[in-house]
Amino acid sequence: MTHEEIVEIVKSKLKTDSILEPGFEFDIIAQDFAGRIGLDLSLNSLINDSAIDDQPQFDPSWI
Amino acid sequence: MILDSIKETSRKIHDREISATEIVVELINDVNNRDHTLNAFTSFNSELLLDNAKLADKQLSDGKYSGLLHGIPVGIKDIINVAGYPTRCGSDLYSNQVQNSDAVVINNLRTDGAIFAGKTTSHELACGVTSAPASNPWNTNYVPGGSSGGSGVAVACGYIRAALGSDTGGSIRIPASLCGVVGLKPTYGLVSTSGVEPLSVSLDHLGPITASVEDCALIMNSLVGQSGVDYTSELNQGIAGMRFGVLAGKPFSPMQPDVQQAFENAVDHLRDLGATCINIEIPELEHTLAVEFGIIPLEAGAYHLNSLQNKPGLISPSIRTLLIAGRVIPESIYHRANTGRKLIASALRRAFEDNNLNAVITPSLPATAAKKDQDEFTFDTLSEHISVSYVRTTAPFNVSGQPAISVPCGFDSMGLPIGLQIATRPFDETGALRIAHAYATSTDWQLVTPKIG
Repeated sequence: MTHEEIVEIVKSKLKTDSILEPGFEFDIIAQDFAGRIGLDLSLNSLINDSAIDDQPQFDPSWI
Repeated sequence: MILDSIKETSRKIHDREISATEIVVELINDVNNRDHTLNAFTSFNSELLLDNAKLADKQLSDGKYSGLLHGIPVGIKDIINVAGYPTRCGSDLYSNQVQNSDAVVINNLRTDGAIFAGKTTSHELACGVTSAPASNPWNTNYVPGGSSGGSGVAVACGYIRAALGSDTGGSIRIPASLCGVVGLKPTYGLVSTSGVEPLSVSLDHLGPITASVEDCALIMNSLVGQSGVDYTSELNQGIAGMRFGVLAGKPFSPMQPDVQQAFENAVDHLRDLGATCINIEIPELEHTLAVEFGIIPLEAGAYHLNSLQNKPGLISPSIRTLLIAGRVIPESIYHRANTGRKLIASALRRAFEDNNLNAVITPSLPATAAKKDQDEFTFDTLSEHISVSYVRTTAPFNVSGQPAISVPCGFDSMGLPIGLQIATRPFDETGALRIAHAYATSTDWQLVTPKIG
């Protein structure tokens, strides 16, 4: 996804949310958004690679 | 101001060796003299404080002794509602309107006789690690940490023995470590957050920042209310025979050399006290920040949506970017982060069970206090934003929900404090306090106080 495409996604979502401040730093927001996509890769790795195969039973002492 | 422990001050008040009014007059003078530099307090109402101290003294004269906190001043992070004070959250979004009711924790402290020293400086919306304009009392050119920075400063510089903070990714333990005091993040849900402005409701915790582990246990007794648990009960039982897992790989490394040395010395000291310390690895923890930052923006963005829509100019750009990220990033990330959260909690539980551990031990933070104008730390070849550095060692236990305490364990070559983090099983705050107390009372670190400020 290009930077410009991310900016358009951000603007579209903000419009949907009625967040219409014109002075937002869209480039910075887009960079932040791109960084968070990187975090998703880390989540993928955690979920796919974890050796922990026991999804916790309900245990109030380990939420 | 050199303060006795809460227990000793309490005894003196009870035995009429000193009055709450005398303590408060000295506190007011101290704050008036020094807080223009330290900025620990964002709201400090001398008149209200004095009135409450006089009331505490009168109640004592009338035979109405409330308990161990009777007449003891406690600082309150400025995201927690206290009747008579505004709640500003370090943000221009909030007005100076005085609150007319207390948060649950304030009610608990008030029931036990505490009086409120003032509202302590919070990083904007409890979302950051610097807490401007507060300054680190060990060197005022450095940050005190955050987001509960003012609480750390107020305790470290000796205004008060105890303050409350909140901790979503480390905001109690970060200022505790950077200011050289004790900070406990209790088990998720153990301490009520009712009446507290949230940052991220599923990760927010409230807890004490104190001058000693014993003070911390006494404040916990009050915060938890009528639980029947006495958090001081095991303080003096020592740690001989306990087993600790030492976590020093990712995400706890890389760390500054001085921090690494202090941490290794602390582990050796725990061995000297009779504990068995074994090195363990929990690979899942390396992904902690993906989980933490997959949850906070969406929860914070949802909570502050109205402000984003109607008053975005009152939010600083960096915080606004985070909140907007919470509106823009896919909800699937939030759900996957919560899946990851369960895996991390399970991995920690497995580590405790497989190794028969009483606690895991880590450096509280990989670095000491940053300069006020510093954006990044450099660890060998890695450059990292200071907020990422600070949160990567504390957030694992926000994600898992288990208790974690930071106690002082040394100083770097600049004379800035270093912290040791001890995390125990959920609801084993008593164990965390016992271990921390054994360490703290057999070393001199918590006896050293800042000379400046």
